Amino acid sequence: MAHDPHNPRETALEQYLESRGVDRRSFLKFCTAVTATLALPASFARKVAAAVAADDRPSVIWLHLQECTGDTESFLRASRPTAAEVILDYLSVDYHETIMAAAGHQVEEVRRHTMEQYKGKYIAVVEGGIPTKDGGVYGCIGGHSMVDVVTEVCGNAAATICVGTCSAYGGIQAAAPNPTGAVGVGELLPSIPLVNLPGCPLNAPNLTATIVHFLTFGTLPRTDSLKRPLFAYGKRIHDNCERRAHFDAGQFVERWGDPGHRQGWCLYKMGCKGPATSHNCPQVRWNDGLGWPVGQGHGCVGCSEPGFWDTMGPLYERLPNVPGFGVETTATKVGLGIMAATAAGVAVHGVAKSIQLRAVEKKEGN
Amino acid sequence: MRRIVVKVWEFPVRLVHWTNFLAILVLCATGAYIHWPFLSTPTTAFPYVMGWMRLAHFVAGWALLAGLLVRLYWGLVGNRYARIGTFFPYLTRQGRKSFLGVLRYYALLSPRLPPHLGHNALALTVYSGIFAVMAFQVVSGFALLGQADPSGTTYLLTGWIFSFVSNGWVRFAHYAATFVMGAFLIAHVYAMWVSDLAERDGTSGSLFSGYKYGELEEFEDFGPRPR
Repeated sequence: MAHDPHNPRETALEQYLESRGVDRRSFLKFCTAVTATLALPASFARKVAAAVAADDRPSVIWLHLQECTGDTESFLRASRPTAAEVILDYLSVDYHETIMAAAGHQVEEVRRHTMEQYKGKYIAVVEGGIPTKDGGVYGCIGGHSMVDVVTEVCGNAAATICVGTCSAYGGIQAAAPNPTGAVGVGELLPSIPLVNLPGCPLNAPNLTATIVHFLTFGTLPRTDSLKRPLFAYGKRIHDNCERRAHFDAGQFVERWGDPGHRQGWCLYKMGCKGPATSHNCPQVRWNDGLGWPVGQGHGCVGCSEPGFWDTMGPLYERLPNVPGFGVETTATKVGLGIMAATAAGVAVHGVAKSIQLRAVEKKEGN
Repeated sequence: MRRIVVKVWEFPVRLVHWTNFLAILVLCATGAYIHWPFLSTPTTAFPYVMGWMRLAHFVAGWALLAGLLVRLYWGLVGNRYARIGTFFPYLTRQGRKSFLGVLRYYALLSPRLPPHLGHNALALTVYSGIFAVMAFQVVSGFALLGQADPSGTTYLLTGWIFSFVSNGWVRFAHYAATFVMGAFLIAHVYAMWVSDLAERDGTSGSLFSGYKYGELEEFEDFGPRPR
């Protein structure tokens, strides 16, 4: 559809999309895909399209804290400009340290201005954990600790979206012994409206879908007890895995590079944490839906689960090691040891008891 | 001294004992496979081996749950040897005395068990622990199963366990507890055998018939009516 500058019904976003080479068809396809990601009926696609195209979109402030910028990379690294990217780009112009052109006090002023002008109306997107130890000295932006920045920005936002495992649960820097006292936003500010999109990095379509849900319905999507949206984290990876048929068939990779591995068999015995991880990776994937870890031949490491650095190890074993027995001690070894000790114990006891009973019976005369 | 026979184990008690036994055997065997799938399937011959193993595991899990519920009910309405209260002998003075007597018996300090008709005091204590292990296995097992559908009833009833420990540790405990059951099975069968040897009261036969035998004086301590 050709762009008509005199069409009064065309919104600023639609004009912007067209200027970036995203036509109406692509836009509607995007809206339909997001509707499907949100597990809404197809009839909602029209409503989603209207809400996204409306001119009253909220501003977005995107904070970078203790993190590697992997989540930003996750959706900036698309091979071509998609509707999703352009929309996010369009929404997040106010403040985003990685992609904004301005710098220094100037841009901190922009953030302050946005917060004042759209108080209680903007969306805060947080990437990275928050160091809380020693008064929050381990992370500062523009002379303010990250604790203060997050409290101020998220405390005044209409909604906070935590992208990636760091902002959701503290991430790698929160791994034991957590030297900087890193926490997720939800732990620092338990009562604010917040949704977690953990993952290392997050799946970009889930962020898009969460924002679209907010635009369409004015609320954050329904979440589980860990504040993760059910549409994206309601099912286990294992139950939606493209390799699941190999699991059911008993076809397993036994060693890296063996024939089963080359044929794409199940990675269960290689310590895949798909059975312990709730995420929609098998469906949405990364890099324009091109690939994801299990599809690439490596087991899931459970990166979107709380404290995965501490709870998902060893990454290449089925179960955690037995605490208190040192590394490499498996439950099987300890368990078989207990059973063997029991068997040996009763055998020795049996002999001793028989001798005792024989002696007693001889004395009793039967 | 008069040799007497007493109906100790009622039918539901015996039934549940053997359904639990079968369920636990199936659960251990299929659980071992689920933990470490040792059968490497050819692509065509038996194409759903893990699926069948899991199905058998789940069916046996339901059977164990049913067994536990029936036993719990019978613990409220059954005879004196089946009642729930009897599983906590250390709560009474007589029970504690009997408990020490059993310890002396196993430490070879005395040749015979203290007089008893049902289980001895140590056995009862161990069984209450084993019932707890079985209950944990049922809850953790259904929790792990229920994760496939977090909006389902199974998860609603059992998913609370994940607010205390992460999935990996639930799986670990579910697996480790299997070895507790294995060690129990060894000790349990041995204790029955040695009890037969020392008491000659028909313990092993009572597992099927429900009747135990003994001297009248032995039973008068506990005061049941001889048949």
